[in-house]
Amino acid sequence: MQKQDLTMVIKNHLPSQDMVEDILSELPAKSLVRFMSVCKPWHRLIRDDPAFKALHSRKTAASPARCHYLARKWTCDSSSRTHTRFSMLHNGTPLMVEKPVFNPFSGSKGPDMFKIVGSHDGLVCILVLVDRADVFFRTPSIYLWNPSINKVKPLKRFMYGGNNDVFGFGFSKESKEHRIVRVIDYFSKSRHRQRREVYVYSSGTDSWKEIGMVLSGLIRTELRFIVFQKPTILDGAPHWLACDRNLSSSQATVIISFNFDADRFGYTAIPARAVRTAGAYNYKVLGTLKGSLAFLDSLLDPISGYNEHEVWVLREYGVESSWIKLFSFQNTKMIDLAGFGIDGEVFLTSGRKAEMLVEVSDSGKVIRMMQGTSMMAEMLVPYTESLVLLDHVDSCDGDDSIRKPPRKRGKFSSSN
Amino acid sequence: MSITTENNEKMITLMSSDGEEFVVEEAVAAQSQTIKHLIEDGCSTEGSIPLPNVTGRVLSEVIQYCKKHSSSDDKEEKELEAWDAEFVKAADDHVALTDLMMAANFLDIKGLLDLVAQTLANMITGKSPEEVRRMWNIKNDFTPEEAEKVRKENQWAFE
Repeated sequence: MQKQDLTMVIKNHLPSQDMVEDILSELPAKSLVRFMSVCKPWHRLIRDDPAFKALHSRKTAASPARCHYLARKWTCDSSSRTHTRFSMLHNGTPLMVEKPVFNPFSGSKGPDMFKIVGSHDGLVCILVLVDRADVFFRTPSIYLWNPSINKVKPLKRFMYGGNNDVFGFGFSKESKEHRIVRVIDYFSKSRHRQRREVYVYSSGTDSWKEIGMVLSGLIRTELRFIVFQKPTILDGAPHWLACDRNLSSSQATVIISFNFDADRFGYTAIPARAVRTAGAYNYKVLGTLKGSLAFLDSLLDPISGYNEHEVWVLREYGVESSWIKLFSFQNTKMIDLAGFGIDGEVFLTSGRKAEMLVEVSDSGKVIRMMQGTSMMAEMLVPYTESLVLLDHVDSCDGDDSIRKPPRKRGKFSSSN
Repeated sequence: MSITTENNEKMITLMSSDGEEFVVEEAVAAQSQTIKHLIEDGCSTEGSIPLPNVTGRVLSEVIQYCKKHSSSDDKEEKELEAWDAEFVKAADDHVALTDLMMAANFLDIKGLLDLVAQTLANMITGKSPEEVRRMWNIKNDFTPEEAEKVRKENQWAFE
């Protein structure tokens, strides 16, 4: 029926629906949102056709020029209040061109109150943590956000849980749904042992289900998730670094993953650093490099200034013996991994208040720097545009932590 | 009618909707899946292959594309990309490009189809809905109230 409609309306020059889809699927999301106004068949195709959305996502992901990074940045105003901003960084030469993105989340909240849980197929999962002053809502709120089309969907609040819960965002390939996993750890006084509950949210049913009971034997409660880093998404599954519950988080020994098709945790050991220096600061950051799991292992001695950073890659997924050290490099500044790039770059920031972003190539040489960028280390995620959530009807009028984009051109509005 | 050249290349004749005949190497014409299937089904043995949907002007462009792409190998990817860019630039306007796309669609030449779709997409990226309607004679079937509502919901995309 849709086919006929299109053919009738576009009688002179574009006779087939296939051709319309071929052309429109090449367009950026913003143009498509505008072209919903062209005619009803286009409106229906762009807004409601899941097959078209999937085609658009596939073409976008396959085109390097349309892959971006979403960065969360923070700035201080004259009264020393911090503000969170999001920016889209374009993959290209020169390195990146920044474009501010309208931030729909409450502007009064400080940067530590936001977390990017992950980004997949155009959708970003955002966690807004609980303020101590916020007595009525003591559990963090979760949002699914598509910054390329300005759509936000707040999820239902949990009855309990807190800021330390573990969240992972991803995708079920079987059901083609976005999923979120939430892990709540607590100490059960009655049983005198550590307990772990696991819930999974599905975008298809828009609801949470508990899966902890079925898998209780597979949940290794002796491991502690390292939660100050965002989980890395590989093949739709979130991955976290974890360490022994009694050790400090700098001693990560294993990667925990969660597969949304099987609702199962997986565990992959990571190689220990060969040489340790007493008193040196050692940390690891997880990421993906050209479709493989990877991590940055940094060793810094603040007194002697000695430092060495290594990038490791898991050549074959799930095979622990296939870890290889890709390269190592030195950098005297305190550095953090901002993220691994789409083309295999390693993005580093030097400290929390860094003013530059350093890009390191495979050979370990610093090849480019970006000036005037201050961003939190953990907040740079690869982002590809999509039309997911376009058919979602905003119902957030009553939620004061969501803001609507300004009607008139403002400083946050973007242009083509 | 199948002719063989000095190089022993099998030649076939394509006939456009306006009766123009083009003699091309079979390997060139077979870049079109449609023609390839016609040849395989033995439709080219007697006389020429009629292509009732494609005019001579468009067909000559299509053949130019197929010739270039059948003689180049993977090594020349960069050069081929530059050639493609010049090729679509020469097609001039959206009407010619749309004709070319229709031919690529009918003849089932994926590379050409993608190339033209991308070019047309680049052409309309920054345009207004009204400009796009005018380009392809698309009828605006929204009532004024509906149009206002759709536009208001997505005002940011017009800025």
